Amino acid sequence: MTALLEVEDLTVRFYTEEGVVTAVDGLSYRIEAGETFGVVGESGAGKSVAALSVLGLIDDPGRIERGEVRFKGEDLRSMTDAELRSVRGDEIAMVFQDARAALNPVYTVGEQIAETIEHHMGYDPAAARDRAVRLLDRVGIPEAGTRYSDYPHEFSGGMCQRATVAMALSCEPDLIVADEPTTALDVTVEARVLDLLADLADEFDVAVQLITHDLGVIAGTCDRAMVMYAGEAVERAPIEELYYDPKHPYTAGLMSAIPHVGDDRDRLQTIPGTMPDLIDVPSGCRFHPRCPFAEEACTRTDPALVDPENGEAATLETERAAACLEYTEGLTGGLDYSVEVDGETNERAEDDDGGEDDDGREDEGEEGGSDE
Amino acid sequence: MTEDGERGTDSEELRTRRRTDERGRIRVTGFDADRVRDRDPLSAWSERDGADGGTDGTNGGADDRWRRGLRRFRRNRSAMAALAVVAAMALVSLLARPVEVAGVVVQPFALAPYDPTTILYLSVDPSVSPYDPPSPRFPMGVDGAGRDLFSRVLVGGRYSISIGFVVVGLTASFGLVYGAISGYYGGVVDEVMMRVVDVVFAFPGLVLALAVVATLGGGYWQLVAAFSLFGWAGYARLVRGEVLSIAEREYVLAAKVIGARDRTVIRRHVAPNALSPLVVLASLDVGSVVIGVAALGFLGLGMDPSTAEWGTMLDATRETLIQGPGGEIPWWATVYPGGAIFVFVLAMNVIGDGVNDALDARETGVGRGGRGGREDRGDGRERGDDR
Amino acid sequence: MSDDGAGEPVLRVEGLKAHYDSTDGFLDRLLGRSRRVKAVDGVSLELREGETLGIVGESGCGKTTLARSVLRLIEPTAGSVYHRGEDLTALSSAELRDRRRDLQYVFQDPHSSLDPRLTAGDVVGEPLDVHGLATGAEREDRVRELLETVGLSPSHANRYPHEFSGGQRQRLGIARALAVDPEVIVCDEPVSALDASVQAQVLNLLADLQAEFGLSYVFIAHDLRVIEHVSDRVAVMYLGEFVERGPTEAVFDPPYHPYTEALLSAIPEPDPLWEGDGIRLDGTVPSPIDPPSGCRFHTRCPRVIPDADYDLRPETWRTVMDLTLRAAEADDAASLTAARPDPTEAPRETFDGLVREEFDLPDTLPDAAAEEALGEAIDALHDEGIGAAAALLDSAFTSPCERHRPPEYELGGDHGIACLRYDDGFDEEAGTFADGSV
Repeated sequence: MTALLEVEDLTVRFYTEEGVVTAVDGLSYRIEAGETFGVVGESGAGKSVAALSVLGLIDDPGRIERGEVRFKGEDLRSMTDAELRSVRGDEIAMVFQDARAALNPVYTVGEQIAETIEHHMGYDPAAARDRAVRLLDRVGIPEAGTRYSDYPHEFSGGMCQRATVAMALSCEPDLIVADEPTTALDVTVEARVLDLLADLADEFDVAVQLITHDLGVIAGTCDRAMVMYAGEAVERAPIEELYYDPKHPYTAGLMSAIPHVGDDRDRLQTIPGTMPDLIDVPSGCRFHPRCPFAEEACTRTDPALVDPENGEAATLETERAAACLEYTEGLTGGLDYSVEVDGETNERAEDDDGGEDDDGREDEGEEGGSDE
Repeated sequence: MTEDGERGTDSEELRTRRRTDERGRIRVTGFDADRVRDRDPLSAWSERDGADGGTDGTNGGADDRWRRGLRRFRRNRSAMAALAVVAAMALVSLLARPVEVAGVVVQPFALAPYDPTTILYLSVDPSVSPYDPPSPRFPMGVDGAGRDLFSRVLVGGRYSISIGFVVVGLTASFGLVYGAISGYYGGVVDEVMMRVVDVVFAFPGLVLALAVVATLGGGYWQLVAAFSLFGWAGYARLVRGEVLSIAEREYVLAAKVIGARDRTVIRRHVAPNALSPLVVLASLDVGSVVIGVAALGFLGLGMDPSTAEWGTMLDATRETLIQGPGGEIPWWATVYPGGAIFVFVLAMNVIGDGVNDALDARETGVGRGGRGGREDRGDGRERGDDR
Repeated sequence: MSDDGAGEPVLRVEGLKAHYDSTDGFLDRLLGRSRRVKAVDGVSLELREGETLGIVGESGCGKTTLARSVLRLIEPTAGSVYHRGEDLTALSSAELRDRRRDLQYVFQDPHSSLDPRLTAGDVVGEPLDVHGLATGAEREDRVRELLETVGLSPSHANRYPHEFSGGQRQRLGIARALAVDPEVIVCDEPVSALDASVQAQVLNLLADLQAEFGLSYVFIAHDLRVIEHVSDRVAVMYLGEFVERGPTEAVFDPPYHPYTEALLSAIPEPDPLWEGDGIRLDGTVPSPIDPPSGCRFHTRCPRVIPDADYDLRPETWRTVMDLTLRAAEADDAASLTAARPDPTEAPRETFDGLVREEFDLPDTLPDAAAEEALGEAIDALHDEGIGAAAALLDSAFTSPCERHRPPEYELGGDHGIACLRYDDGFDEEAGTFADGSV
């Protein structure tokens, strides 16, 4: 059975005055129907560009160089503009970081939602209005009936984001791509919007691709996640394994760099340096200039995404994948970071691998089965 | 739905993990950044420090907005061509007749064959009559008073071109100071200063200029005064708006934090950053002033009627448009000076557009837009958390 | 100032208020149609030598205004700021300029706080020029030294801000603040625009500089994770006031102010198996133009104290309060229900259901007296309109939190919480204070 969304080998380049920017390079992932899939990475990692190119929303000077995007088995890239527009409206919806900018300031919030419903679902105006009010109420806008005729500037930031979620839901899509939906919001509002997204995903059985830079946000909401660095996926894993047993040093570095509540370290561990400029990326593994475990080999070979248990090239179906030479050639020094949970320690020692190997495969098998 | 499926098939180890309300349980150790700092670089690749402009081979050297603007301007072919036209016209008018300063000849060249005020049939050649058509000897013909049009058109640029630049220089400088003070101090100062500007704007500019010339009489400096007296208002308003937005920027506040005086802040931070729209407006304005001067000249209110100034020359031959002597229209008497005005103003406007494109912030930001938005997050936060 | 052993504070703020006018035009001002925004409304704090005081709150709480009025970048309306015993608010502008050598500021947005026309060297050198601290070769050396101190290469001195990454620009902003060798740096959200890995670098840099130069920081952030990491003491700000204050451990452990508790609960935890206590706040910070009476948090507080006349659970009480508050602001009855053009057309019973559904009220309130009062109000809403209903609700349901502005209650160990729940003299059962007042 094919997944809801399958992206394979997606490569997007921008031809700018300063040079060619490879914003996304050979990205592959899949999203199953109804699941919440997280994409995490720092700014410049190519998260947003990847999402936009999936929807065919990349404009000059950007160009999709190669790759396939299949939605429900259909290739989005070979569609005409009109077909693509209808997919975008009816089946894939998008929620942006800046909700206020996503709403047209000269129409009321309600009108905008009703118009989308009329246009895509063929409702008559009265029915569309009714449904818009119900949606506004559902996403937690108080006095939805009255608020229907408010303009975006009369809404607070959190309410604007709720309204765009309502608009995204209005056409009963199968996938919502949410690009940093809570980044501009206060934590109290962020928590509520995330709760809302999770509830709605359950209620409407819609898949969500949640793009964020915040590992905390991913942990609470997603089923599986992908970590991106400099335009590439460096790790892909079910959510718990990503946190309890990160396989890529960048993931581990990112986790150690964020301050936690209840963490009494004096200094934060950092990832030295900054994300490379995508015009001129380092040779070999793109993370090697910042990676404490990098070796000479890392400067020569660009590691592919592989199953960390057996080093076999990862396919779309591979649940657990990481792009580090450790899992193919093996690094002489190994990756000697460790993850402590509540005192218990998951040593990332070589001898653990044999034991976990079976579990890993079993995972895949049953996962595949349960989806059918 | 996948949640159950997935969590159910977790490995033995994961299954024993319990849900918790305790924070900070996961801790990564051993990710030691010092190892990167201490080791020798593994490869020749080095961080470009997120430099956005360092790819031009300038090796991270100075590359500010003006330089980038200049580079863009140079690439704009039509603007460069227009610039060449204006430069050529200015040069030709300068070299048209020798220039004397206090009896000393500082510019000995004479491209124009005759003095523009020389009446040909009186002192050069009695056979020349008014409105002689263009001939090899007088390439643009002869005007109604028997003067060589070619010489007059060449020399005429001295007045028309220089007056444009002088007026714009004066008005833009005054407008810059006026607008900067008004915008920076705000409050009552701003209110009063801007109401004055409103009053100036309430009158049509050309009519005001006309009134001034009518009062003061014609002449070069009178014309400069007529156009400068009220021409600054547009600059003042533009600069004030720009300053208001710059004063909101944090680098102005940052300058106050380090203890800089107001005048230092205006001089060092506010005015220079407000300059680029001013330059754009000024470059477009030169043409308008030249047209205005020509218009007054055409109405007979500009320079002395015998002066070789393009607009005035048009006026002198105005009646010929309707009917010339012998029923023939001496088109050359109007077409050449008019054409000179046309070419100059057109060239100035093209230059103005070119300057606008070169300095336009959005244009210069193109390279950065495609870079995956390094600034995205910052912007979002800024909106969310001010105050 | 008495020396209580903890050392004289470097900075002491007393009763600071910063109000400003939000009226737009000159004419409005002339006609006296002014609306005062009470962005900071009576804040006192002490900053001791070498410590970091964290200030946290949602956007719209007045954090930035506080930070700026402490340094008189915004002129405070009332109150005093003492630096080494001298009142900054009384200084002339020339004296204040001198004083800026000791008090510095780091901005949130490293992009907009650097003049795009100045090179890195000029940015860092400007304070040296302004105060005449160094010239010529000495200035060059000092600029190099400062760039190195913040982890930039001295060879970057000729670069323009746009050639640096966000983290590097923030380092540049820090170098500019350090140039005058200050005692106190007010950091306004210095890392919130930065990526996680870069954020850690800048936080570590700030910690290193504090250790090296003995700096004191006022550190403002909306991110409690960052605040907990950097601060020695923390103040939680809500609508222009501090609601809780104390050493970091005390603030991050119970007892909490309900607002602090809600903020803490909302932080996402990077742990898939973590389940929070799910305390969620409704809405956003109310307008500081006309802040709520009594405790300013009572309009959103999940633990608002119930009226002693009724026997209701806190959650139920919260929903009743929501209805009361919304009725006071609403224009018509339709605003109190989810849909329908005019719900009052519906029969009384249906209408009752609609109102209760909108506010998650139970079909009958467990307390008979409360139910009766609510029923009356809904009747009034149905028959007479919003005004009458609002009046009824307001008189029937009043929380002590609405009537009393809580002072800060000392909980020991320099920990203070401004919440009636921590008033020893307040009897929740009877709804009376120690002196018998209600």
